Amino acid sequence: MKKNLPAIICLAAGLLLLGFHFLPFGKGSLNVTIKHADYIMPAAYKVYANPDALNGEYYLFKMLMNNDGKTTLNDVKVSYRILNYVDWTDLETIPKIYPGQNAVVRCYPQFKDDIVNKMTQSQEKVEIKISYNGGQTMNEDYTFKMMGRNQFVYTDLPPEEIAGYPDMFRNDQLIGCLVTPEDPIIKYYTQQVQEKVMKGEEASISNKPEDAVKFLMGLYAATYVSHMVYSGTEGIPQKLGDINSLVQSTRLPREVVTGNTGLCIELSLLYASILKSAGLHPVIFLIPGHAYPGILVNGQYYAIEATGIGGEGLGSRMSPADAYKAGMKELNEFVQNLQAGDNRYTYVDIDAMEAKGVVPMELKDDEFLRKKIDEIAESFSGGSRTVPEEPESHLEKQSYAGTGNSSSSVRSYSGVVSFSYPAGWQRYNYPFAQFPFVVSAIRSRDNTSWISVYNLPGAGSADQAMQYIANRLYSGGISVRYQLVNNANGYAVYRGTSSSNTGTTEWEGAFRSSGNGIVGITVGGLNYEQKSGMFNSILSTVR
Amino acid sequence: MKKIAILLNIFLFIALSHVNAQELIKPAKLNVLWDLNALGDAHIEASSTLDAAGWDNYKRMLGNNPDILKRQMERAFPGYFLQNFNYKEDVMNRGWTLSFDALGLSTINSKGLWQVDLNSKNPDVTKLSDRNYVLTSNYATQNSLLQEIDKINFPAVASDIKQDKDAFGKAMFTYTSSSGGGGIGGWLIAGLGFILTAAGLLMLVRSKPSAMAVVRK
Repeated sequence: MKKNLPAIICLAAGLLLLGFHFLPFGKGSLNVTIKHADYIMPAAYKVYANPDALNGEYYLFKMLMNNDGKTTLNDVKVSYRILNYVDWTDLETIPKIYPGQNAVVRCYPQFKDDIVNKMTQSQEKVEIKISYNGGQTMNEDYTFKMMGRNQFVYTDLPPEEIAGYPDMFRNDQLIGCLVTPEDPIIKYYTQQVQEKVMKGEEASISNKPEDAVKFLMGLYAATYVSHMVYSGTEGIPQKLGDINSLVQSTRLPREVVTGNTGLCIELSLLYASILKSAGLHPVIFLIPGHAYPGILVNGQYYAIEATGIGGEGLGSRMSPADAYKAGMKELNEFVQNLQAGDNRYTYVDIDAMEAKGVVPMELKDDEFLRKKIDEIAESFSGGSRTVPEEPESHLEKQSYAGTGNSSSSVRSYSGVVSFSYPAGWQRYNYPFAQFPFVVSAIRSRDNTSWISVYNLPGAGSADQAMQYIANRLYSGGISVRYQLVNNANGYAVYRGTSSSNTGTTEWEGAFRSSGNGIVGITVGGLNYEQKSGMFNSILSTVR
Repeated sequence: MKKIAILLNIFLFIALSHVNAQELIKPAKLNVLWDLNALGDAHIEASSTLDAAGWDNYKRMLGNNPDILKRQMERAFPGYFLQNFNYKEDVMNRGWTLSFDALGLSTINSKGLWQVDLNSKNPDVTKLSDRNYVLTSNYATQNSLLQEIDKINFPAVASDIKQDKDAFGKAMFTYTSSSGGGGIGGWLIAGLGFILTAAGLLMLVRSKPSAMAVVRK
């Protein structure tokens, strides 16, 4: 025995070393890093579910697993659940993770179709379970915001990452999720419009531009005769985890039709849904503070100003011919700005985005909504509600009272300050998520003139407020130069210019103390000198 | 692989679109080097040299925020964890280089093979040597032409490298690793274990006949 002792020791040591290498002795150690979405928009649930949609950018979470132990981890299985939404689901089983090795697991959740019934936002929890080596487990969890189906969050970037306008509206690429051509209610509405307003059409068959334009105008006429009106919805900045973003409550096309009212983006979504349902190629043009629908036929774009329906309470309404004329004028400006490299001018090609995996939500038929459409379709048959043959109004005629128009073309703003502005101009509350001190922006329809309303609680003086605004805008790529020109009636009046890579605009502003800070407005735009009378008129109404 | 080209193309297209129709269009070139290590992580280096108009446009789009490139890469590779970004410019030659590490680029599949996904169907692959491959791709987007040349260097421990397809028809490379991924230290231990075991067995076997001889006496 003694003689064999060295051999036995040698054999034991050898087997021990081999065991260390091939068998799971020693301690395996798993280090986990998770990156996750701060919010989920139910409207885009099919994008979140598809790893190929938009290059797989919209995941629920991805997890880096690093084996920082000394032995190999075997059969590493990752599963997850979202209480009330997704039951425990196995994501992946990785056969081995060697010491020092990294492995990545991605989660694209398969939400059920009924997620689109969720109307309000809530905080939800993701639980992740990792099991390995046939018994060892590790648990992780985190929370995120589940938005309501109508809530559209415009960016998924944290404030410090936002470099410019496109970053603030990065989720524009998901707008196609709100275009619902397969919605039974939209299909039914489309049929009614084709039958009763257009009296039959062949735009998708003929592929002729004139037929497509006729379709666009027919669609506008349908909204006109049903007395659909332009009206806003809530749009407020929200903090969602690390993200500060503008969250807009956007009505679905079926809600726009049955509610008979819509904002510019909502009307654009409705048009896109109907155009696609009719077999055409819809496009939505997005410009700063506005959106309008269009169509692509034989490589040419055509557009219409869907908000031309206005409403009696908003002043005049455009005829279909005028709305088309206005849309084409806007399209012309759009192309010029796009060619000039202004990245705020973008468009969403619904078909192209669908090819990238941006697909609409599943919506169920609804008898009540069909009846509503039947009621609306009655107005298509004529009676007192007819479409004017001649233009009822024109964009240029909607300019400000300073040019001699009657007082009915003036609207009042009442907030941190009060003033009057042209009725045809459009108002947006908290338009810039990263500049919360801009409480409202109001712009002319041709986007050459605008008003900004500011509220800066805590500012000690108008000068201090101006300096703060200039500094903040500079971080957003806008260089502001200004000069105090007057102090009257408690207001400090400034004149200045704002320059960005898209050009320079001139403005005049009035600021005053609000008791706990500074409030005020700036009025200006392109061709300042030509419109200075109008701008001064607006400023003279500030209270 | 194609994603890098598509994302970077946005910085190039305006300048390239000025090319006259009668001219021979030379594509802008983007070289991407992929160095895989024994543990499946990759060091990626993308570089390009532009013409004067292209450089002007590139600088205009990039501004003073080269970190935009980092974000673009993170979007191009949402499935991986990227780190150690480094960006260099050679302004006199209108060139730039971006490098970073992608963790977990190569993983072990259910067959026990290491797998690298190429994220494209039917790529044009040229084998340079047993462990070096080149993929060439041409893209025509936004009125510009871009050629991306991806050179993939597999680790020295890789063998039996094969081009394959996944269930969706997307191309991928599979290979085996002689280190198993455990690193050289692990195999030194295993090797020493083999030697000691073999030596122990040999000593036992050699001691056996002498014992028999004693019995026969």
